[in-house]
Amino acid sequence: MTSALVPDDQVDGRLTLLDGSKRSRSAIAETGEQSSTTEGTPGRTKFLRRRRDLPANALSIAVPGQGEHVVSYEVAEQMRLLMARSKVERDLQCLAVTSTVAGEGNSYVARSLATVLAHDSGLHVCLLEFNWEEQGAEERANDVDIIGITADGREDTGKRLTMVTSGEVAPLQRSLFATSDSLNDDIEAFRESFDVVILDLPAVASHSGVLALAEYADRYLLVARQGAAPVAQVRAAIEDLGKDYLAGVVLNQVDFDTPKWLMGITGS
Amino acid sequence: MNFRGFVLRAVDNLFRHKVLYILPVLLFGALGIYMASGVEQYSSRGVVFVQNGSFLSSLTEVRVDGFSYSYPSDLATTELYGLLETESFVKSVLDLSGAKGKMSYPGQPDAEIYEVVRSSIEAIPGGENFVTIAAYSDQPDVARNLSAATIETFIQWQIDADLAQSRSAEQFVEELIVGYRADADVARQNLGDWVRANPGPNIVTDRPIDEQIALRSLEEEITNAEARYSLAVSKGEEARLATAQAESSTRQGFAIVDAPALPDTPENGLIDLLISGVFFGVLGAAMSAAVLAFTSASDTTLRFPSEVEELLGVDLLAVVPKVSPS
Repeated sequence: MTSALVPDDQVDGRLTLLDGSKRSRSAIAETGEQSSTTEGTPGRTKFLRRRRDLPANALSIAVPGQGEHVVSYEVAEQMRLLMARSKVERDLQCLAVTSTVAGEGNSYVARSLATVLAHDSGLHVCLLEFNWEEQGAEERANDVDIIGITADGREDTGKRLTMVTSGEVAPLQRSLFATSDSLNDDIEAFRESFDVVILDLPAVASHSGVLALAEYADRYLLVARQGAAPVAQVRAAIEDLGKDYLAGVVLNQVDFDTPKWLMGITGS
Repeated sequence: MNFRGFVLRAVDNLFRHKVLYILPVLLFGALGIYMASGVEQYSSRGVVFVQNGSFLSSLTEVRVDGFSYSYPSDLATTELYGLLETESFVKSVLDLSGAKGKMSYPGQPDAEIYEVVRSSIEAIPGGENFVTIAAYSDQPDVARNLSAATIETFIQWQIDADLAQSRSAEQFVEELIVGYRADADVARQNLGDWVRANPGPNIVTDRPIDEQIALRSLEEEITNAEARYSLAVSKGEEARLATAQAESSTRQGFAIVDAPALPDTPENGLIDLLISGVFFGVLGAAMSAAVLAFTSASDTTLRFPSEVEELLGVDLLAVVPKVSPS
């Protein structure tokens, strides 16, 4: 069976890990032995130096090839709200995260959600990132440690998150990729291997194949950055994706300059 | 986007870019102060006592209707501003002041000059009978001349209005005098012509009876014409006297208490600077408000959590605060 997550010349049913080795997905899911924060590696040293700066009650993961992703306490709390409202722990096994236009921060929300979910629930969570627009990106799978600092300054470790990236896909192949049987099989395999699978999809407006990708999920989250996409465009994206499958909207990068006392008066 | 959304956006935009919106107010205010301080402004004021029941026709009709009452000073002020709207009055002021050359540049249209004059003159009622007439200019002599000319032209206008009837009578009598004088001259000429045409004894009674009748007729014509002429001259003098008396009486109703003086120091007080600064500041605020309204009205994006449900009709699951990139 050809895997959609790896280029044709690398099809071997295994995913390339950060250290260059290849492991089967089930192995990743079951053992979680591969980690981007293995002791003794340069990445580990760099990450430890950063970890000391991690604020209390925040969570952090080392995203392979991209550096540290920190989930602050405030963001983590919003993710917990999101989990409770969307019932992602109980009713949803596969959740897609997308946005109307590019740059609304859906990857940030997806990573944060996956991190908090894996940390808080102890479930096996897989974050499947469709970074097909990222030039030169390779398909890979990594188990990453979730590092937290408790309120009294102690390290909170032991939880892991599996991150799988699709790698770059040529524009003309994206529709085929999105609707291929191999991708369907891959996602089915992830659903069998993990408790929760989160699909980090590109923006709806970026490619028509996103609509097909969203169909692999039970429900989808729409991330809307404050002041980014016009309401009409957001509405159109919801119509395209299907309002019935919408778990809800996450308003991202929200920042108000109105004084709090005035916000109380205006009810905003 | 409804009105509430517009207001919320406007408020948030205002605080988000407060420097951007406050800057025009500060810049325009500073510009106003700079402009007010950069131009020396002189003012010259004269105070006129307006007497109730004077010859000023309008003042004889002081309104007492129910609870309202207009003082003579109020009526005179209103009348002056009304006159300032007319070209003939402003032209008279300008001609009398002799300031046209100093207030205009070569080739400047009269309409523009008149506007400058109008904006330079101010009338302020004070109490029941006093009206202060002030003129402003960057040249002290122009300010004084404008103020004095305005007062004089205003009083003269009142006199002209009051004496119109007297002067009409005077003019009518003058025209009669001219006619009667001509009639008398013609009568004398007729008599001379008849005597030259009918030579004869110098004693009238020595002439034939028909010539005596003709001579007496011509002499009567002369007598009548001269009598009419004398009467007209007398009436003319009476009319002129009446006019002079009326003019004097009108002038008594408008006593100049303080004549405009030549100002020696410019008026650029703190209040003037503040007024100018505030005025320009308000202009800047209006500009900021227009920009704020435009940007808020044209923002059709999701800005507030409540809008997710209001505008999209879907559930809002989380509000992720803005985080700076690590």
